[in-house]
Amino acid sequence: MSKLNNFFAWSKSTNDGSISLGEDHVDGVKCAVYIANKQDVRHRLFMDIDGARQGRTTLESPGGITIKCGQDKDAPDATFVMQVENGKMIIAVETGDIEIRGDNITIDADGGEGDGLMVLKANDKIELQAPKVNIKGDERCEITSEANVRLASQGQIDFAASHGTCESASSTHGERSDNQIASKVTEGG
Amino acid sequence: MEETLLKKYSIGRDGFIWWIGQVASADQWTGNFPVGTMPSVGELPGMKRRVKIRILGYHTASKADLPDEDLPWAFIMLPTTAGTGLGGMSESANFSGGEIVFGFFLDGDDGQSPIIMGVLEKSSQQTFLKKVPDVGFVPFSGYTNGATESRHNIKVDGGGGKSDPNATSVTESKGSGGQVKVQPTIRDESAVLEQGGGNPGSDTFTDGLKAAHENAEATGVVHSTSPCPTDNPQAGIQVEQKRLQKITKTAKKYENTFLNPLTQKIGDVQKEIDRAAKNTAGYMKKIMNKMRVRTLQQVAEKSAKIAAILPLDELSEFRDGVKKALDQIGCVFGKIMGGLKGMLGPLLEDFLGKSANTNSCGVDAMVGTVIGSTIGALDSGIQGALSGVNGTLAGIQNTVKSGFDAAENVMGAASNAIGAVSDTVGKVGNLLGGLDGGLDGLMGGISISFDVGGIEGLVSSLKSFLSCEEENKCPDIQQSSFSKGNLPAIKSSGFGGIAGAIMGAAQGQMPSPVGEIMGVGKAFKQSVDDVKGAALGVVDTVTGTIDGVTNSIDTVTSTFKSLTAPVSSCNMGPIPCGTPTLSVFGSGIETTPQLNAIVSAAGEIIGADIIDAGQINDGGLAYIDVGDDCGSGMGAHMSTVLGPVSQNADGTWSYDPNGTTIGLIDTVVESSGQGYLPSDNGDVGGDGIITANNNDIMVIAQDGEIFTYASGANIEVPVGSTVYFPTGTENAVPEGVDPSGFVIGRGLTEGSGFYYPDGGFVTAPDVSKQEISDRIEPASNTYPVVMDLGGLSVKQTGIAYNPGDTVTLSGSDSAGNTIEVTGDLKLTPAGHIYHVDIGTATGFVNIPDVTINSLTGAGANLKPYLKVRYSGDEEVNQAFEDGLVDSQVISVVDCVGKFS
Repeated sequence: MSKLNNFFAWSKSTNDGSISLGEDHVDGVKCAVYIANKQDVRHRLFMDIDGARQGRTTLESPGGITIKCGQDKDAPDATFVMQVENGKMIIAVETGDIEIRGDNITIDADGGEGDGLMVLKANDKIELQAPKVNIKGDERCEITSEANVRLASQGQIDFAASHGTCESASSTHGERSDNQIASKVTEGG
Repeated sequence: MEETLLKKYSIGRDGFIWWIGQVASADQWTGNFPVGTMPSVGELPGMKRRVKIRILGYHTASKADLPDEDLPWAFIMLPTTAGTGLGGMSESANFSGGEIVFGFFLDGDDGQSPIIMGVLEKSSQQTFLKKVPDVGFVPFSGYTNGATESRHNIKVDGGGGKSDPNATSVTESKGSGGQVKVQPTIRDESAVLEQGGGNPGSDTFTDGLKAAHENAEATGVVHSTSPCPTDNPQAGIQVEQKRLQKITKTAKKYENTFLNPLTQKIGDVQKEIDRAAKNTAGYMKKIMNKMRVRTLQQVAEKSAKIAAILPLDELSEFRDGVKKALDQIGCVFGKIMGGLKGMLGPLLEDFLGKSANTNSCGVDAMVGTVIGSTIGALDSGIQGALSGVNGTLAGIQNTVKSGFDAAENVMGAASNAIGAVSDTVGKVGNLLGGLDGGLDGLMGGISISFDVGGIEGLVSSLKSFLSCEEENKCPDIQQSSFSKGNLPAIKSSGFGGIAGAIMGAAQGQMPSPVGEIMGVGKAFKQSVDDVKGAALGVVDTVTGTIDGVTNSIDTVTSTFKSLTAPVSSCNMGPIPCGTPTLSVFGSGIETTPQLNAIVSAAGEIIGADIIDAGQINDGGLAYIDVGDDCGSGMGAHMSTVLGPVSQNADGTWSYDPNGTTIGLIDTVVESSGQGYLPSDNGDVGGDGIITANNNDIMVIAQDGEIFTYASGANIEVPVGSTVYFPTGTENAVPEGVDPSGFVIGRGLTEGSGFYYPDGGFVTAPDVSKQEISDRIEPASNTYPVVMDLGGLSVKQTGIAYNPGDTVTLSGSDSAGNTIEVTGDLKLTPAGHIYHVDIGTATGFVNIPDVTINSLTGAGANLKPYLKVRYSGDEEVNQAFEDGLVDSQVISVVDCVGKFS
């Protein structure tokens, strides 16, 4: 914590907003630049010099943030770039949803040396919806459930393997629907 | 006349007549600024940048004799850096009215054309006077334009007020444990005007800035997700709980000082409760999903065993039944999960005023208690879901019973199907142990059915799998905070606590809080049984089952609204505010280093006593989190120095230049922070907030709700409350008060307060914080240390330093004796500092100042760090014999058990 900051700080202020250079935070951390909405103490942007936030820029904006850019750019241009050199990028919505929309979306976990893990978790349901869905595991592909697994098709369904195994405590197969000719089709095995 | 003849009437040739005056209130000159856009320049009402001015010695102070509107207009001189508006370059003048300004007359001593050259800065002693005085030259605030005063510039100064003896007491309690009544306060504090921008000193931070900081601290903790399939939902719940507690306390702390708490939405408590309930429900959903998985596994396993022995032509019907049952069970859990938020909202709201110290014990208790309360509904739902399958099995049983041969065939098929080596029915029965009911049914005419064991069986099963989960816990969840960046992970508490909370039969084997929970669980069981009965009564279809569960949850929610009993043993009340704690975290840490913080008398952290250097993998990272339970101190930041260590006989690790293991060998105080307590001062709190100052009186009502009152408050204590007075308070035991609980001092830190079985009246003693601090005896777990200069850490190398340049460190002991040491800089050919050779010096009680003695170099940043030279009575006493003096000794609170 710098001890001589306050006297040498500079600020320009009105009743509505201020910009300060070299101001101290409440916790004693020295701030290079502090831009404040003075009618809402939470609405501010600051760049810290020392302490635990050394080199960090913090933006707090109770009313939300709009970033609009790229009006003059074309589709292949890198128009909005967030580059994290090291560490994690955490996007956390405390109450609310996350929506991502674009013409095409690619998520690539391209880490080496044991990385390269992509996990989708949900507390209720994960849905994949598209005219065509391909799931391909180069080495292995598993679909499991503690309860029911249903593979269904209104058209044709194919199972193909160089070697196939089907295990069950017991099994039934071949059951016609109501609009088909009624006959006993259930067999044990 | 003579004078007139001498005047040259040329600017600058008639002398420089300067003056001091006061800018009139803004309403006298803002008319110069048009309200809206004017059609043309010619229609502008004035010249914009002019103000009315009352000049000392030229104008009377009497506004009756010379009203403001009759004062002369003054132009405002701006600096050359401000621009004039020409070429698009400009800067606004910054007047609000009331300023004391300095200027001169363009027309010499005619005094009709004043120019304002500069302004005298407002005194920090000036109070907030919004009303424009009737007399000129008297200070006022300048807030005369009707705008809302910014909290950046207004602070409240004063003692907070005293009870009004003539006022009628008002009720403060919201809980069911009684009503605390307190007389309204006459405030003796007042609004004070602060500087417009940079804060001139931390002692004058406005409430607005403090509230913004505390609000950001409370809401700024984010924990990242984990790829692990079974991450730590309790950690998430703990984050939610802490946030709720802290934001609620912050809101209360500033409720009287925010100008507009509604629009600024700091402290929208109801919204925070909703948010916490929703998010906690999400985390609990993860826990309940584990239960769902386990239940589905059980049903699937049993169905497989039953299917293995069923007649083949019955399989299709059985399969359909099981499928429906699995779907229904999934749905039952879904319904209960959907009701969690509704259950949690009232619980959290009830809990708010009763907890001051969120911890994992309390979280486990809450989670376990809520889940435990749904067991009945779960069981009834599951039984309902399985009833259809059991009906099918009953029909099959009748078929089987119609002929022994058929049964024999069934058993033979079953044996084959599961690969049993024996064809005897008994051995098949053993092999299919999990299906004992089903086989017995086939053999003895008892109905074939699923049975997951009813409530007790379900609970037992949950305990079993939750205990297993504990063994398979995933990595701790990382957190980051708004103010500190990285934070230590919340350690997984496993699922043992939750299992204990659920499992009534486990009383005595679980931590003490569980015993309390068990009591609640037992009391609750009857209502659950009633719910279960109601639910089963309507179970005959899928819809009926789900409706039954929904009704059950509604009943549970309406009857179970208090967590007070379950968490009463979790010590979630206020705790003494003590010295800061240092927690080491990071990556590759095999054995966590243990440190005690060393705090100066001025409340700054000056170093750490490394009790255990720990064991850190090569390439690992170690950070230090400076924790403060009550948020008294803030801003300290420390970094670590890793190096070779070896293990001691007692299992700890310490620095060893020949060691082959990496550990923490030094700490560097990057920022010493402020406000940390060198020892207990009698304040109590938790979750980063002081619940009660050491001179406050604290009342904990029968239902656990906590109230605090400043000195002088007259309080009517409700029946069954416990009252905690400031340490050392001489207080007669009121009539009816249990004298066995009487102690002189703050009961909380002594283990008990004053119990008021029949209620009563108390007055908070009029005593200062310092007086109470002086009464606090040093804690028994303190030990003396003496600090050495450990070295200088080069944070920035700088440039252009020359051989021969030196660095001087200057500090002092507590008696003010200067301690100074000089070292040599080690430089690269380009003049960068890469190391400092410096001797040591003993007895620093603060971090020394650094002066680099160089005529050419610039830009280096060197951080001195202190190390413990002598530690403990034995070493320090020995050092006294070698010339050590008292003023070099610092008292350290042992937070990690160095001498335990």
